[in-house]
This record gives sequence, structure tokens and C-alpha cells, in this order.
Amino acid sequence: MKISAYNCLTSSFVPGKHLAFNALTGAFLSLDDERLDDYATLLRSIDATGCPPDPVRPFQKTLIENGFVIPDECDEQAEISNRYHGGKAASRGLGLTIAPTITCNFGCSYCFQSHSNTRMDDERIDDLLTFVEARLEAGTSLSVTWFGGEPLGAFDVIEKLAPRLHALAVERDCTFGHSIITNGYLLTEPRAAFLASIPGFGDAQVTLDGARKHHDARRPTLAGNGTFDRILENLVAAARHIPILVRVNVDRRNIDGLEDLLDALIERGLRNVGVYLGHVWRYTDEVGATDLLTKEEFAAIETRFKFLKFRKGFAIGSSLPQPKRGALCSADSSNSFVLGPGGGIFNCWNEAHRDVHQAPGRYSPAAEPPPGDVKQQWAGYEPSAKPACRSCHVAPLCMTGCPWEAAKLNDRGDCISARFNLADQLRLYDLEQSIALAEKARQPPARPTEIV
Amino acid sequence: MTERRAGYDSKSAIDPQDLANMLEAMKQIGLDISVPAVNEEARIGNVLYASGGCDPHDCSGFKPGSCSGVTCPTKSSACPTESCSTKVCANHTCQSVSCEKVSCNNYHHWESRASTHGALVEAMSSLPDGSWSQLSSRSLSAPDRAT
Repeated sequence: MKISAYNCLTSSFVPGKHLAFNALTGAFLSLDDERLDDYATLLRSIDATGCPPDPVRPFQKTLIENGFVIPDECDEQAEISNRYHGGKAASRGLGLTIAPTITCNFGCSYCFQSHSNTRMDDERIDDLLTFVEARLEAGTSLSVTWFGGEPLGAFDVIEKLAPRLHALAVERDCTFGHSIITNGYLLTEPRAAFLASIPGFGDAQVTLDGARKHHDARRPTLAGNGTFDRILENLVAAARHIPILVRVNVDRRNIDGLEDLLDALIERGLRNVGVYLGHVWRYTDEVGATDLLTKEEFAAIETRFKFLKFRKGFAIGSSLPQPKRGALCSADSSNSFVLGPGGGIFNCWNEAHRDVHQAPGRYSPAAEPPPGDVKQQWAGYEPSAKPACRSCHVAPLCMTGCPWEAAKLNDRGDCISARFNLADQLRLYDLEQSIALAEKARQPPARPTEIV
Repeated sequence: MTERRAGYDSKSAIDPQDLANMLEAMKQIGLDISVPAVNEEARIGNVLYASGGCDPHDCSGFKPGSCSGVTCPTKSSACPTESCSTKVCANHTCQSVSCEKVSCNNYHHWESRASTHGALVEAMSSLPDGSWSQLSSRSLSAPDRAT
């Protein structure tokens, strides 16, 4: 036997407790000192002899069953590759990112888009529905993300499309889900209520880059006016109808405002919304003035922010890191498409603002030239081709990360935070889970149901 | 003392004083999370959506038997000595790699977690403001610290 290349053994936040995680299987175990000894003894024995100790202790058996130690024949890198290609081949549902317009009412300094006044007209709406009708396989799923520009700048398009897409999904016996990415300025309560009225609504992701001072400096209207107060008012009203997810785009300029933002949300009764950090990055040439954090710095800030959220009474939102399977995003997925307002099909969100003539494909038959093979660009994408990723301890979790960014780099992928903060991610996850389980242990056992 | 193997990761980006404050607050409210019974059963995968959007107390997004075609990690297709069997998740749709040993149980404890978390937040907030580290751009150069 041999030792898996994807083990992570770390301290927890609690003295005397340790955490073990395998990034290929996703197995997560908590250990006391005795189990830590079992872990160390097992790995030492495998290292020295290729065999587990005799007798194998029960916890060592658990470690073997969960892939911390594997048979010599196992090729973990081949497994990662199999998961990528096998998952892609097995994927059936249709994923759409729809930009009803590319117009935006904001002038954010770090925006990765250039904004034209293009908006989807009735003819394009019909073309889009024809496109979906032709591709939605019965008994699968239809997932829609409303994107832009600012999608609520063309809310009438969403009002027309959303019910028809839902009806089509129902007709084909498909599950339907939709969500929206918006700056929140136009997210009025009636609009939130409308989104909630279409079954399958997930959440509205709204960006706040800090409390008023930081946010207004970074995300003003095109006329240069502040937007924080109006967005916060909208969120209070919208949260009565739909789940809200607040994204905070961070660079060096607004870290100081993160705590103030949480306090502002608490003050408005929004402690139950999800809040997470986005890393401002130079995805496209359109990105303007910014002061980027390195990947490692972002990972550290992300960890500290999660702890700050915990301290302030927000859910940390720490999920157990999960091994990936299949396509990484819409770009390399064979059945996900980014549909622009002018009839163009794109692969990546970073291209949504481009003119229809720059699109690799068309969903609108009225547009010329005729559709090409939209997915050709990414068909041959191979995560295992990046040499640095082959020796990375989190490779099963990211498979090179964002393919758009990874394509710019020769030797490595676009590193995810877990490369730098996996141990803290595990500790934070353990913290939330442990509190839940400690509470459960304190509660008296439930009484058996009495039959009257 | 337990031997620390090479590769044992004890570095954290979180200030040790903040952790000490948190542990002290836990002590104040009688909350003990040191018991390593957490996830004693090995968990492969997770019921959370990949985006972390599985609503607490709400597993409605999961549908029976929708995990067909998933590769069971411990019976890898790359391991010639073990067969790769298609797993069907008993009660949930897994959007992650595996369907085995997933459970929504942890998420069904959300309400009690919120209650305990609330008591802990209150205890932590009773400490003076200066007790906690500040999240600021100045902290970027601070080295990782051992937990």
C-alpha cells in the first residue's frame, strides 16, 4: 500500500483535537491524541514496509477505507482525470447564463466589462426560447442565472422569459432553478416578489463592497452618486421574499471596511443573509484601477473574515471542501452557455459584454454568420496538463480552478484559496459542526411518540 | 507527547488571542467542543451545494436517486483491484463527487446551532473592543501563527 498524495492533517481550534482530510475522497475525520497516534503509526508503517501494522486498529481501518492509505495500483491522478472527463460526458442538464442587457447603471472602478446599450428585444427572446427548446433534454434540468450588465436594467425581459422557461422545463419534466446576479440598486420589493413567484428561485447575489464609505467610493452610479443606502433599503425589503447573498469584492483598498459592513447588516436586521468575499482580479483588459491582493493574501483575509462573521453571529458558511467532478464552469461545460442580449453565445461570463460579432456562436438565427461550434475552444481542455497542479495537495478540489485564468498560465492553474487556507477551512467547518453537535448532546433525548 | 508528523499543519491566519477569547467565551457558557465525536463516522462528500447554498433546515433541493453515474471515490475506476460501481444516493441528489455516507443531519441541527451560537456571540461581545484583532490591510503582512 502507499500513502495518498492528498492527505491533510491539521490541528483544530480546540487543544487536543486534530482534523484529517483527504482531498480526493472528501473524507473528514476528527481525532483525539490516541487517534492521532493511530494515524501516525499507520502512515509510518506504510512508509517503511508498504503494509499496515498488524493488528490493524479500528481507526486505522477507517483511515484505509477513506483513502488516506491506498493500494499500490491506485493512480490518484488518473482518478482526477477520470472524474473530469467522465463527469463532463455524463452531464445532461442545460445551464444558461442570460444577460438581458449589457447596460449597467454603475461605474465600478474594477469592472471587467465594457458596457454598451445592447438589450434583448422580443425577436431575440423568441430566438432564445427556440434555442432552449432545441437543447433541453426531457427529464433533466434547466438552470438559469440572470446576469448582465445589470439584469434588472431590462427587467421586462426577465418578466417575459422566466415564466416561459419555467413552463418549458415543466413541460419536459425537468427541474427548474434560477438566480440573479445584480448590483441591487433596482431590486425593488415588487421585483423580488416577482422573482420569488417563479418556482425554483435560488438567491439574489448583491454586491456591497463595505459600509457606505468604502462601497460608495467603489460602486457609484454612472453619475458618481452613492448607492449604498438605496441598496441596503432594497435588501431589507427583498429579503422578505427571496434569499440574499451579499458578495464583497475585495482588494487592498476596502479590507478596512469589512467589519463596518457586517455591523451595518446587523443594524438593518440582515444577520441571516449569506456574506462572502470575491477576489478582485484582472480577468479582462477592461478591469480598471484596483489594488489587487495576491491569492495567498486573499486566502488569509477570507479566513479572517469568516472568523469575524462567526464572532458577529453570522453563519460562517463553511462547507466541507469537496472533490470536483466534471466541468469546472460554463466555459468548459458542453451544455452550459452564456447568452448575450444581441444573439451571441459565449462560453465564459468574462465574455458576456462582447459584441455579437465577437461571439463564437449564435442563438439567434437572424444573426450572421451562422452558428459555429461554440464549445470547440474548450473541448480539449485538460486539467492534468498543468505540471504544478500535479503535485498540488488540493488538485482534486479545483482541477486547475478557473479555466479562463488557467489558460493564461503555462505551468499551473488558477489557484483556489484552499491551496493556502485548507487547514483553516477545515477548522472553521469543524467549529460550526462541533457547536451544533455539542448543543445536540446537551439536549435531553426526544421522548418516544405516544400513540393515542 | 504525541509525535507531530511532518505535514502536520498548525498554522492559521487567525490571531491566537482571538481563538483564546473564543475558547474563554465557550467556557463561560459551558460549551465544550473538544470531544472528537464530531463526524466520527467518516463522511465522504457533503450534502451542501457546491456553492454552499444548502439552506439550513432545507434539503428540498435534493431528490431521490439522482446521483447515478457518480464515481465512488473509494472504489475508484483507477484502482484495478476494486470495481467502480455506480452509486445511487438514497434520499438526496448529490452535486458533489460522491453519494456515500451523506447526511442532512448536521444541517437539521441548524436551529440549535443558532441558539448556541447566539449565546456564544453574546459572551464574545461582552469582551472589550480592544480584545479582538482588527481585520485591516495592515494585517496583510502579519505572518501565519500556530494554533
